[in-house]
Amino acid sequence: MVFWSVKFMLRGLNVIISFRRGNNMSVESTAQMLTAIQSRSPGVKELVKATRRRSQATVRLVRALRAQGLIASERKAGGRGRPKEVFKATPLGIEYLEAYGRLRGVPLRATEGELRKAAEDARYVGRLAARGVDTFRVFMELNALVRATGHAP
Amino acid sequence: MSGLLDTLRRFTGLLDRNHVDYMVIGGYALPFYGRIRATLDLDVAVAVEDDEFRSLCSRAEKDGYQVSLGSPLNPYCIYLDTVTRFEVEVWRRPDGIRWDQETLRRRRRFSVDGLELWVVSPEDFIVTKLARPDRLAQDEMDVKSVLERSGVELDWRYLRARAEDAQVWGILQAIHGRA
Repeated sequence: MVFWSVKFMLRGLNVIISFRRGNNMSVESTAQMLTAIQSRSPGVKELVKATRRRSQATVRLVRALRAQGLIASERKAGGRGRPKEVFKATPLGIEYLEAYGRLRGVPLRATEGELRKAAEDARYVGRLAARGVDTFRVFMELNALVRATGHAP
Repeated sequence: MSGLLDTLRRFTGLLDRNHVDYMVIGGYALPFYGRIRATLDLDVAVAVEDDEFRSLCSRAEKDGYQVSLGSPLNPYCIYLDTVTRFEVEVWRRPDGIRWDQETLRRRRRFSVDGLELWVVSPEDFIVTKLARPDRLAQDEMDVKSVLERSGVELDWRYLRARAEDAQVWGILQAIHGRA
């Protein structure tokens, strides 16, 4: 099983959040859920609506967030019937959101030069395609060439 | 024939025979929309539910594949083609992709050496690249190349909706604005 860790070390905050690759808990998903929860203390139904996910997926994410201590639930009585279960972000969840907000300002991973090179490569491929060259065939040839030289990526 | 292309041909044949909706994602989709770079990672996204997936695995094993499932919660598993000896990464929940009718409707059909392939739309390709939790500089370069490749029309309204949904719209704008 593959575990990934995202480490936030900002202003004394040292939170290690591990998530299993596969439970759809990307950092963005976690932040999206937390944002929805923090802004309106919703129940599952409202969360499904706010995040536009399927109910089953939402329940799974809520469980994962609760297991990580990022949210807590409470029963809220109102009108008739069973008290409704609503969710609230814990202090850790709020810290996570704040750290996420700061990290979103982090520069891109690619440098200006790398992006320029990618753009130039793409323009060249565009010219090849315009001349009738099958770009997928070129790709397969390149793969074969690279493998033949023993430098497979 | 290239072992990789043969692997793709055999695998998409398996999916077609079993009426599984699929699309090629990742590096093998890139030459259709962006730059060309070598990669061995053959990624295919399949639209199947849990029980269908298990059934697909058992049918694949009869066809000469060794399937390493890992966890049922894993978003992908490895299909080793024992005939070609290449591996296919099979994704059920690719990062950033919402499997719905719109995603399926927008995938594109390409023909390569007589092989008919369903390939992820360029818009969904961009979102999957940016939504990876382990996004690398290479992924951003791939996205940049799709944005810059002439002849590839992007539906920006759809792209924006999907990118906002996956919370990568800001990153996409940054890449678009650079260089």
